[in-house]
Amino acid sequence: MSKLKIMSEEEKREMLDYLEERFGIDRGVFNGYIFIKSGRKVWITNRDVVEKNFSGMNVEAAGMLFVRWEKIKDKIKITTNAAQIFGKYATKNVVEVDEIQLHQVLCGLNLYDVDVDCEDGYVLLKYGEHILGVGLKHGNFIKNLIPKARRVKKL
Amino acid sequence: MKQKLNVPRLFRERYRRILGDEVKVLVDYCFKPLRKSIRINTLKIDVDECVKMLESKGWELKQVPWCSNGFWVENRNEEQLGNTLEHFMGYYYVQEASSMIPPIVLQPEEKDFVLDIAAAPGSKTTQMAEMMKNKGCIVANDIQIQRIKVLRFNLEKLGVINTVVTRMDGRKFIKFKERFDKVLVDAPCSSEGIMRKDWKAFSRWNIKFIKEMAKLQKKLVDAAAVTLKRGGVMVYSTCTMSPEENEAVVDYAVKKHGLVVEKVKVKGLKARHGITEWESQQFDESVRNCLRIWPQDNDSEGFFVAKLRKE
Repeated sequence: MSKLKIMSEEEKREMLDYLEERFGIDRGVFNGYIFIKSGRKVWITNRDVVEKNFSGMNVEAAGMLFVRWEKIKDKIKITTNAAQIFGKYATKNVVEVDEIQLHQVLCGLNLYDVDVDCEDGYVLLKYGEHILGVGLKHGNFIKNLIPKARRVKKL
Repeated sequence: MKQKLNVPRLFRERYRRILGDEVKVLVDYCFKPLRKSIRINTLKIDVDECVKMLESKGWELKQVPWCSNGFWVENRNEEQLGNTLEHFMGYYYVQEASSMIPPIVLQPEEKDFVLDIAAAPGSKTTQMAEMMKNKGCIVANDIQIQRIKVLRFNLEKLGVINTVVTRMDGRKFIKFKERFDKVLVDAPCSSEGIMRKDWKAFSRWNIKFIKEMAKLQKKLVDAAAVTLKRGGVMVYSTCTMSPEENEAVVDYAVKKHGLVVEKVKVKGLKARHGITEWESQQFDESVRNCLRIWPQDNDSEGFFVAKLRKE
């Protein structure tokens, strides 16, 4: 990322439309945030950051990785870190896990025989008040998408 | 007590010159296991709420007096600290209590443009982001790609969004004249202060390394002094006790760049003045204003912190 490129309004609209349609997250939640796009990745940051002068600096990243823009299936995948912060505003496609499933999710295991009323595709995994991250639901199966580095060895 | 034989004689002799007979206490502390501590991440959770969650699981927490969201954990080992729902969620960060001091001295504010010149693994960067409530901007720099990966991982896990991560030799910031309001130079050092975490470090300890580090630290201070705006504040800190890497570097900053060493008071912290003389070298009197934190003072790592203003 050599230069901070603010996402176009059209792309931003498309991304926020998706989050609203898929998870019911109101776009107003993101007022005041700035989105930066580089390739297929989108970062979220604040206005102060993009107004600063970084000329001559070797910039690796700005803000927090927010979504990955994918070509296939559900085309936008919200990251675990972003889900943990903004997932609390979701009103649909949220799967509540019990204590046994919590251990499985945190250890990186997939969930089988899950009986929930959600659409297939990306879902948010929730335990109590805590949004843990993202899973990919297909029927009664949820693929665990918590990154390896974030997983817990044992609780 | 057999381990004490591994403490280099020169190490004892050097610190006997500052501490006198108290050097025995220092050596004792070097072999005492370090207390575990955490900092609750207020970007993601309220302090009281997190304390309640952890205490309900049987954790014994004791407030770190100088950091409102810092706690010693009395009855958990390192592995246990890293394997909880709360850690997974980024509600707390495992951080040594004395390493919470430099951001407290720098006091970054919401509007500031801050440089953290040697930022990885991100303990102090995330603490500053929290103090700035994710506003303003922090340039979090480091030189090695592996260290950058750890830095980015920690920033994102803790929900930090007000950072720009750069990968550069910190000395190169000398090119960017008067850009930052505040600069943290938590300098690479000989790490004498963290012997409690790594006893084997004594076998690697030598004066040549200390002198090499001091050269690098002066270069980082050169860059930080140039890139700091007039009226701006730099905090220089190390986790070592050697005067060559501490008071001598601050003295250099005063004499070469005209920086002013400000007096610092950190509530609840027991600290001593900087020394003004070492091996026939006389330092500027203002170097006394630095904080010299010995492991035995607060049952922590050894640390050194100086607050410098560019007028």
